[in-house]
Amino acid sequence: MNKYVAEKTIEERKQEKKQRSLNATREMIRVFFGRGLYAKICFGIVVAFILVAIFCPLLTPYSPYEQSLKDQFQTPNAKHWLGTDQLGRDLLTRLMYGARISLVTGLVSSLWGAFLGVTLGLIAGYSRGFAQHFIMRCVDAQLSIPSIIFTMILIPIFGATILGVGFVIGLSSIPGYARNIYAQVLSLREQDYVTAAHLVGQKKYKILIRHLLPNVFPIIIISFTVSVGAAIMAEAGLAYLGVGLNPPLPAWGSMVSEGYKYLTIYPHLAMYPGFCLMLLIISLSIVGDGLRDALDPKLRGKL
Amino acid sequence: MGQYILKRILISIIVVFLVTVFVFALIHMLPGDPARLYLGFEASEADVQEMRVKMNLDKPWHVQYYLWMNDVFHGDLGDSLLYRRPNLDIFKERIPRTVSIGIPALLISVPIALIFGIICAIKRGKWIDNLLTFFITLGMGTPVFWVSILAIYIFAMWLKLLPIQGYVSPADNFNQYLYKATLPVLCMATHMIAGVARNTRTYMLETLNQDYIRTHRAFGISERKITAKYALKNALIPVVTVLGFQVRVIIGGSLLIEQVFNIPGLGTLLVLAVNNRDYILIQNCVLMIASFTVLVSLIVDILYGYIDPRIRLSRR
Amino acid sequence: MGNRLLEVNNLKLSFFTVSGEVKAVDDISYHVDEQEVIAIVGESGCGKSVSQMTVMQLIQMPPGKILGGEVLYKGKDLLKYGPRSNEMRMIRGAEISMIFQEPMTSLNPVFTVGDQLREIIMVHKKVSKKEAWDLGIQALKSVEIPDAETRMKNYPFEMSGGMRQRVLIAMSVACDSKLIIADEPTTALDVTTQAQVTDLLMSLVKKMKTSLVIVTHNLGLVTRYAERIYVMYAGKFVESGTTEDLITNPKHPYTAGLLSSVPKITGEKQEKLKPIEGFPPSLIDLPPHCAFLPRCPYATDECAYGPYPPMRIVGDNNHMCACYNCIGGQ
Repeated sequence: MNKYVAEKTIEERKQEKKQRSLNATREMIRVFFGRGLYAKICFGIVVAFILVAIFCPLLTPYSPYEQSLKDQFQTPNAKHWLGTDQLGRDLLTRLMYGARISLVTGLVSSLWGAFLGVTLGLIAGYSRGFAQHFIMRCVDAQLSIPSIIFTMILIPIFGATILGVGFVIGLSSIPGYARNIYAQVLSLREQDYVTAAHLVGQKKYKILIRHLLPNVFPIIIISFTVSVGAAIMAEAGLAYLGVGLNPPLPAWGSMVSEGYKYLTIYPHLAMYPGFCLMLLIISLSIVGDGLRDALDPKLRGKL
Repeated sequence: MGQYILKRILISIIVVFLVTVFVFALIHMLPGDPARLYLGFEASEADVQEMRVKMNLDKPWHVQYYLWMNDVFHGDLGDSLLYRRPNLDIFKERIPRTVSIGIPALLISVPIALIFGIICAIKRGKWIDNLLTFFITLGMGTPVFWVSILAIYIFAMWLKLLPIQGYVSPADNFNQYLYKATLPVLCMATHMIAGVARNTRTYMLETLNQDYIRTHRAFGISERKITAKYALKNALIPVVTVLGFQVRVIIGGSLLIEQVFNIPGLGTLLVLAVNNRDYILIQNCVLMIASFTVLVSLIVDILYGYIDPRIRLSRR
Repeated sequence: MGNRLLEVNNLKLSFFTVSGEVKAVDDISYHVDEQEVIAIVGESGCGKSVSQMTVMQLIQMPPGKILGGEVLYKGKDLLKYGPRSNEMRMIRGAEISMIFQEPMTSLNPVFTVGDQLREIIMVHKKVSKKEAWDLGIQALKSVEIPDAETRMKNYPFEMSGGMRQRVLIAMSVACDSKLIIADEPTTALDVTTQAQVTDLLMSLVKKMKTSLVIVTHNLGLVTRYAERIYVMYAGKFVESGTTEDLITNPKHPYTAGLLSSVPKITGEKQEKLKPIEGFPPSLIDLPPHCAFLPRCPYATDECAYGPYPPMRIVGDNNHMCACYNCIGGQ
């Protein structure tokens, strides 16, 4: 060192560290929004759906359940912007409440699935011997049953309510989380810092929570964004089959199923909820891609 | 390799065992009494009790499990509560219908998906990659029942090219089968292409970034040969696993597609059974499906070991 | 001294990343004569490997971009051909070969060594499959791999790291390359294997009358073999000259620092090793002044406020140095 490099004070070092983390955050936001126009549009769409889901009672004068047989099968008009359905209910209102159902089930199931899946993946990856094999074989067993069949059978046990369906879809998303986390932990546990933590006598669960969990965090977030979309899709599929959320709940899946009966004469009944579903899931997946790139450039193109 | 295969077989057996335990527990957690369901709500309590004994429902659960397994091993999959006839006969009737949609869809989707994935990886960032990736995202984000309804609306109602619904077995009338099965097969295929293509693209990109590809380049091997031979073989090894997974996708998708197109296959059967609480049928049907997917994964794993010299030549 | 084989003039390459322009190779010039062994020395991350990959045009573009300069091989500018051209392809492997520092990952894991070797021979020589296979066996024999016939049928994972590096050397000599670029050829190997592989490489180079560029961070290694040395720091050359001049009479403070951080066995008294203080700079946002300034014990105001010091002749035999305050005056 020479006189041309000033020794940095502790205050300056702190400042620098702060600046660096600020830059990293800025960088993440820049990458997230720097993925072209359609990524921004998709982000806007997701935000719009969330806002509508939260504020739908304020946005519409109608109730999603109130039937009025004299108003049935109206085409779009000034009173009913998107027309009415076979029971005379305002279609736009039902779509808005449907967004609420989709997002809530998606979120509930993903949170719940992430919690269980990550826990199991961490335990399986970190413990050797029986627990590792037992958990992973159970995951294999669950994977061998297509998830729509798995959820369909479980729903009668937990009830065909928003929470019940969300809970079951969450269970069905365990293998995805568990496998990703498991693979990651397997490679992490051989890392020097984990060995070092062992050698200084840290407790196993402390190593898990303090050293392994933060390192798998990006993977959790990425799996989470993927699973919200998948859960919404699963919920819609179940509702469509009539084994999930049932009418009169305005779930998009069951609206499509009901509208399908009138496809020849009143195609809009099936079209609007179907398009909403597609739009929301695709936007979510593109936002998820952006989040993945922003969080971890190494993962670009993976998962 | 021998030990690898042995290990895989052992794991598969364990997994199937876990599935039986799991399905058994599940069915017993479901609300409702199979005996009552079988006899109907007008039946007297005594009759139901008698039926319970007949169905072994009065025995402790481990005996019930043993009896079920014993039946399964003797090729008896029980009687359906709904149809009042052996499940095995029902399955034999329904499976060919599901297969006649699933296999053509698999055959159509796999080559297309592989080509899409490879083109995307080679032309990464170019317009063709962006275009195909857009379609892949579209395909991944569209629920399969919605694709089917859109297809019906466009091809059947609007263009009037194909029928809306229905099914004819290829054995009965092949032309009618082609006419009626085209839409469901194509919908199933679109459903599958996106996932396989996306995975292929990822694996191919990963491979093209490896050091050994740089070595090939550094010694003057042409780009075409590198992608078509040296990178492809590496990238296809993990893709094999993805293809094995497609069996699950087909079965899951068949539930929705058969519902939309009104095809009396395994998917519609399961939905019907769940709606009518036909426990015996569900139990055996799920066991059958799970065993089949485990078998497919086993075959895929062995194939994987055969393609990958690192496993084939290891003495483990 | 033979004829000029490779001459690189004012080569510049940057990577354009989200965090800014990384000037990995910044205006470097050097040359290799026929049958000459030269070395490029520097700390990791100073751009020495990248500079050689640029010569071979193996850099991914984008994010990399060549911003200027020329690479004259036997008088022809390779940069004019473009990385994907057939001309460039025929030069790679047949005229110039490169050995990489990661033998464990540099061979394709799902093809046999023989397959990969034969492919290279068949690209550059008009021979049948059978003849190519035999040439491959010969190449493996020339790098002293025992039992070459059966080794041809082995997959890379069946070989040790040293063995794989030998295979890569065999690939370079199989088509009689005139110039071999060895990028840290022994860094990933055991110490005992390192010496073997280096000796093998040097004896092959002598025997086949090939020129060699060794890229390394190990100054001790190259003083034994190289005729001339280029010292690289932060994307630029800071000193160049014959090995003898450079070792006995280093002019740049960085070279001096590198030398005093290498243990000497010959010294009468055990000297303490003196590491260079501080860290090499990041190649993003380099200062306009000398990049070594913060770590330099001889720094003056001229260094801090002047422009980047240019390379200038400071001694006999074309000894060049980029410093305002060369050690020992001038």
